Amino acid sequence: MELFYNWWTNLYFLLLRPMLKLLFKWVTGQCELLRITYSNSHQADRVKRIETSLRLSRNIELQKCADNSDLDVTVSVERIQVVKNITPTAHPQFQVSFKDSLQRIAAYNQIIVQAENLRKTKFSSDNEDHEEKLTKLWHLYNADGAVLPSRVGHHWTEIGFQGDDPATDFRGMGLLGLEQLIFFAEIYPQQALNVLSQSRHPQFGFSFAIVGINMTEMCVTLLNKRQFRSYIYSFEKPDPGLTDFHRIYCHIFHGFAQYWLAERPNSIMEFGRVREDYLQKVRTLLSADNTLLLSEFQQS
Amino acid sequence: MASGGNRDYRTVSAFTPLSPNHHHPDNTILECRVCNEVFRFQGDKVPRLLMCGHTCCHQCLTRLPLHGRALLCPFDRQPTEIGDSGVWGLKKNFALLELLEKLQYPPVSSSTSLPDNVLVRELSLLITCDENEQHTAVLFCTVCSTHLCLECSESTHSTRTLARHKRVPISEKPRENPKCAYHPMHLVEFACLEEECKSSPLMCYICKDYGRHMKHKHALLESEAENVRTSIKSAVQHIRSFAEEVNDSARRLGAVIQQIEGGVQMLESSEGETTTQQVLGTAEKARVKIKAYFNELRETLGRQEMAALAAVDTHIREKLCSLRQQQEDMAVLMSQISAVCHQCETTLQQDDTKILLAKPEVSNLLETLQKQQQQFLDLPDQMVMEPTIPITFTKDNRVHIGPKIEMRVVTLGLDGAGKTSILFKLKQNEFIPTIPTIGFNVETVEYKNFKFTIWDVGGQHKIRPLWKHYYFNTQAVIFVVDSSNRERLDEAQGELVKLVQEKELKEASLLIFANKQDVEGCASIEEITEQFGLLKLCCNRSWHLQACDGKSGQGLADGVEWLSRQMVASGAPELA
Repeated sequence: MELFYNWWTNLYFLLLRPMLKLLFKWVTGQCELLRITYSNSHQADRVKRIETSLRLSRNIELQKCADNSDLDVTVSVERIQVVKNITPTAHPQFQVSFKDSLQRIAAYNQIIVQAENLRKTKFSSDNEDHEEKLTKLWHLYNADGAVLPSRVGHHWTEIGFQGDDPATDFRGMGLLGLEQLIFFAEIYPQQALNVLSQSRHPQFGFSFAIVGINMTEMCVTLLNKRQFRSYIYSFEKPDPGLTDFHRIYCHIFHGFAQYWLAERPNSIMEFGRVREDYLQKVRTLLSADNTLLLSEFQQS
Repeated sequence: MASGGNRDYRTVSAFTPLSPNHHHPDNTILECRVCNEVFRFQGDKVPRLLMCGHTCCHQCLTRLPLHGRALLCPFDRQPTEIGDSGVWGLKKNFALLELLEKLQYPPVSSSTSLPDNVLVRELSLLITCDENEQHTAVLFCTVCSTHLCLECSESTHSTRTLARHKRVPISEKPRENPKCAYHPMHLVEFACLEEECKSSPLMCYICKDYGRHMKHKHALLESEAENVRTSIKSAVQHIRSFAEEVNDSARRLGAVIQQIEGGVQMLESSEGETTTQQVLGTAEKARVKIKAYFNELRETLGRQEMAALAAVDTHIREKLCSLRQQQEDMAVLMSQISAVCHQCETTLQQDDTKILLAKPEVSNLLETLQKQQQQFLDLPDQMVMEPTIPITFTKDNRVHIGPKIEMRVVTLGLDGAGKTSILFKLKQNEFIPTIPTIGFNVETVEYKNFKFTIWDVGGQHKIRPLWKHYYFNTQAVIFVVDSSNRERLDEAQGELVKLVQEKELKEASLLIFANKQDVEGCASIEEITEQFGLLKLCCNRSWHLQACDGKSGQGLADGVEWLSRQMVASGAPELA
């Protein structure tokens, strides 16, 4: 079965698809990009199709457009018009719409690059900036104004780190994990503290900070697999940034906390299963168009 | 004389025990009229006779002033010439001394004799008689200064004058000071206490006052001798107690030897009857124990062999059964095929009309045949056609038949030790910087003919109490230590100690990964062995400490290899 599937996909992409494209072009007199631009589908859907088309193009230049994060959009549009033999005067709408699409694709790539850069930045105790952020994290999650007793100590487990030194817990997600925990408490302090207090439930509690880091990992994986496209491409503004990704994180983390409580797990050992179920649920939501990745508290 | 020996012994023995505290009360009459002190036989209070006939003690005479070469008598002032030797040159008043002696030691009644015990004591001294070398002396004549046996004492002191000689048992003979080596005229009376004179401390009064030991610290010979005696006595006492100790331990050694060797023991029952009982020594007990152990081992081995053979038999029976079944199926198929062939051939022989009429029937037959052919092709023939019986022996001497041995492994350790990283390195051979494990991860890793199901449980302090839920049926524990984090080695050791004491993990093999060996300044294998006290902690179980580094994967394969060897009995043929 698998063999057959491979064989079929190879056949499709090597032979059938180009033939179909040729056929369409011959019938309509328009190239694929032009056709997508003119189709009156939803904005996110259109951008997605353009991205796919670019990615599958045999032209290296076009392929690059799909993955380049710092793309000069204006230049690219002009070059593609030349390559694809599209006259700007004949198709004035194409230029505008295509440029918009390219911009959104580039913005998404930009988010990936920025997130990856943050993720790969190891938390370093020698970096004053990092240490400052850690102190800030403590104060954000201790709204009663408790002073940070010391850099290393058992008090870190109170907000859900594993041990005395939170630095070790940032190993996989780097600074991104820290940034997102800070972002959550800074932008939505009430909800963040809600989740924190929920994490201290005697029976259905969990370790807040490391679950937060775990959620960061979930978000990064989804982001890198381009699963947030339909949401990010549907933004009104053409240049969504990293903060929009952080907002998605807040939504997912908050959602997980609620899901966890609803599942009523026997112990923290069920985390793996609950997380998998939750991820499945998120994936299902993402596969649909027009998914709004914002919780109610984020919409106002 | 010989006939009256017994009687004579009694009459002869004129002795009184000479002891220093035995003073006769009457002897106060004989005292020096100058100093009013009692005369003595020796020393300062010896009575000496002056020319005028008066008697004075030696001490008082020495104190008299000298008038030229003469002393003046303190009673009538008559001069007495003295020679070079001074007062010592004057004669002792022997008459007085004799009187003194008589007063002090009045003649004992002739009925007293040497009691038997004294006789025995004196004989044991083995001093030969001065008269006859073949006799053993028992008496000492204080006047003649001779050692005598009773017989010779009688014979030599038979005259009336001599019979008055005082004779005492040898052991009680008066201690007589020897003459001074430098002044043969004088007796040794003092002992020098100076360190330098230790080799020759004896001295007479001349040595003391004018000679070698002038101005030396000194003491009376008697008192000094007494001191030495007491010190020797205490030494003897000490030696005695030491000897007792030696004796005691010798006795105990004997008892221990007895216990080891075993033997006959007398037992007294409540009715007073004594019964002898053979008691087994510990040596014999040990032998019995060894025999019992190996007998049990043999029995267990026998049982295990039976079980293994039974398992193999069952396997063979099942396999043969299914093979025969298939063989029969084949035979049936074969007959069907030949029947179809036959029918086809007969149909071929028939004329056109009949062929046409038989067509549906034949095609029906061919169809069923085709189906069977498909089934035949679909058979997983490789498995069936394999004649080998793959056997592996597990450590507990069970047989495992089949290609893969499954093993349940739990990975534990502190948070951030690298458990998950090692798991993924083993699984996918790539190093991914992981996030803290919440709960657990579980993966199967295949290695040679093993299939490890590895449970990687989070190391967070809060969930360590939940580790125990993963112990059941676990054949091996992988304990990961972060060797680069020296501050937490103690904490890791604490957890390891708890693990080792877990009942459910008693049989489990313990593999310790000293992870992060690539970090500079990390603790080495030796250091960790030392600090954890592994040799002591893990005695009695199979354990292995493996240096590794999750990033490059170095050492991981060795660790897993060790684990796999724990499952398979040594010497068992390995399946490739």
